[in-house]
Amino acid sequence: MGLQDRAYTLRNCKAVLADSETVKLNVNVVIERGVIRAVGKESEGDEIDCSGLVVLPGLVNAHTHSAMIALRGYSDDKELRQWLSDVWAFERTFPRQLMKLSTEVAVLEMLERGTTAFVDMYFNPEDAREMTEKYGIRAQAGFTFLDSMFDPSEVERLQRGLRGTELFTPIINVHSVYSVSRDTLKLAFELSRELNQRLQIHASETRGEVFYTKKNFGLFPVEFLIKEGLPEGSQLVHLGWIASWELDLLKNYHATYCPTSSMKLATAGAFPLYEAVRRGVNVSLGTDGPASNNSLDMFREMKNAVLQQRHNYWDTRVSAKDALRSATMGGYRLLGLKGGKVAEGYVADLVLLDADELYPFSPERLVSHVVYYTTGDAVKKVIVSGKIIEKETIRREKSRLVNELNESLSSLSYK
Amino acid sequence: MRLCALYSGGKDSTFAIHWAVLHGFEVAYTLTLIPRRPDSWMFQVPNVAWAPVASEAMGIDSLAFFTSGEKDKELEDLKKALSKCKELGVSGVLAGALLSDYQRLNIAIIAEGLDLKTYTPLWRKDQEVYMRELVEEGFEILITSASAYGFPFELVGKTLDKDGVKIVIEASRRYGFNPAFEGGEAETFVLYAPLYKRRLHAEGETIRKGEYEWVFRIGRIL
Repeated sequence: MGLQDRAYTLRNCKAVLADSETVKLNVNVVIERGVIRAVGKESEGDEIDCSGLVVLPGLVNAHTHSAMIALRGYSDDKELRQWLSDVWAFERTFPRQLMKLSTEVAVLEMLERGTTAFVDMYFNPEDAREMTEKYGIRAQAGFTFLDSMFDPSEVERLQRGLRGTELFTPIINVHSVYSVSRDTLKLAFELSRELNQRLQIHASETRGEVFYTKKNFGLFPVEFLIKEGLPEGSQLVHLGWIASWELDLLKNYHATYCPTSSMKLATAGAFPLYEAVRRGVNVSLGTDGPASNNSLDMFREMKNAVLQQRHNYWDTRVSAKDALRSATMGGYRLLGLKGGKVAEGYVADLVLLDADELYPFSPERLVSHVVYYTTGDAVKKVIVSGKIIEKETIRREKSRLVNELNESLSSLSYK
Repeated sequence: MRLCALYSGGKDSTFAIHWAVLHGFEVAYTLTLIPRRPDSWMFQVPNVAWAPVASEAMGIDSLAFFTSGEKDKELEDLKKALSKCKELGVSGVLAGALLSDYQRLNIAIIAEGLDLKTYTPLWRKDQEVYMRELVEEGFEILITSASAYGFPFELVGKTLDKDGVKIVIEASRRYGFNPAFEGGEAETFVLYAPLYKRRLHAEGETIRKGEYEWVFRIGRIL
């Protein structure tokens, strides 16, 4: 699908939530060549009536495992260690076609619910790339270093062959400190530097991981990774058990917070969001995979982020605005794009919500409704790089593919 | 779930027990490590030998062990003590760590090795709010030592009331010490709390050991 090149206008938007602080009423948004050209009274090209819609920046799902749609509900109500053991047993025989189908369903589900970009850690990044071309979502993905399943040299070979496109950027995925050897870690770091591809790794997710690294390397996980030469700009996911002194080391790295999965898997950690932001760390938000969340809805994730912080720290220092910033600005900063804001010069990645679903309507309550009340159900359209994606189109396609998914799983006797 | 609570008799470990009980845990034992030297990295020193008395006031069985108080050896001592708790059938450890990751994560690592869960309910809570709420919720906190520049030393040997908390918070802002004494600026002993079955009365003497070091040495608890 080609991108929309000619200028067009989202006319008379009921409200534009430009960022976590700014609401503009009854304005036009002019989009040209994938970029926002103006927000105000200007109009150009085709006009799309948006008088019943609220426009907000696109939501970035900064960490997921898209193909795990096939494992949604497969192993619930278990702590991470047992859950991971179940999941890895499934994945050793995960049919390639089913993996692709799962990623496709996940992409449609994310688009349908307002996600304009996602960062994937799985074994089929070519499928993620194909979906960016087929459906117009943005993605960053890469083959995953995981020694118990893959020969690291094979992961390296595949990764070298993975090419980027306009909407797809390859990244280096390393599962975790505890699932790869020190040599593999070094290999991944060198590859990240050589190919200039960002590295993503789960870090300080559980007490067990902290125990493992301290026992084996005498250091805490983040300390250890940095000492081993973690490339600057790498993305550290979870960090629920990060030590306060390790937070000070994160300034040149990205942190991704996945509140729901940490609660569901009972990791008992809580990423210190307030402390990280205060130290200037870029924080993004992710749902984690559909087998550990089990939703891919970033609206729910924003709410859960605030709720987990409040439940853990017993105060309201982290607000709805913080969650919205992480899901938008923080996400786009991670992607390396000027996005996450509805303003001139920013990428035209937008979510259009049904204003009737955000009631009682009030500009002052808009951030509250977006974070605490609504879900992806209220999404009417998404725009990625200027290209409009209608929810109904996505929904029809998803419905067809879900039937295929169900048939595949039942034919393989998965319960 | 049955827990053992790392316990000094001070406000943080007592409040952690308070939290646990209100969240449906059974605090089966308090566990007190008594350092043999005054500069322990992990454990409170002043008046900690009185902790079993306060534990008894809460109706919780107490376990006490001596520890060397030396930086790494005391972690070994903690491991042995927690192993004993595990043998007694507990499945988790409760700790009152406020902000020190040295305490919190070392406890977590040792507990993980023993397959015990850890709970640190006070970690990273707002320190000023916490101090105010302690008094509002009925904790009667005796200041048993202080050693921070700018600390209102006249409070040593006294029970904190709302005005006392206000004075501490103001001094902490002015002189830059932690208002909840996380850095060891002061130590405390709880004489009464909602879980206590009886109010304790401490008798002792206030000793000025130096310009910035005052101690209230408990001689007797009634």
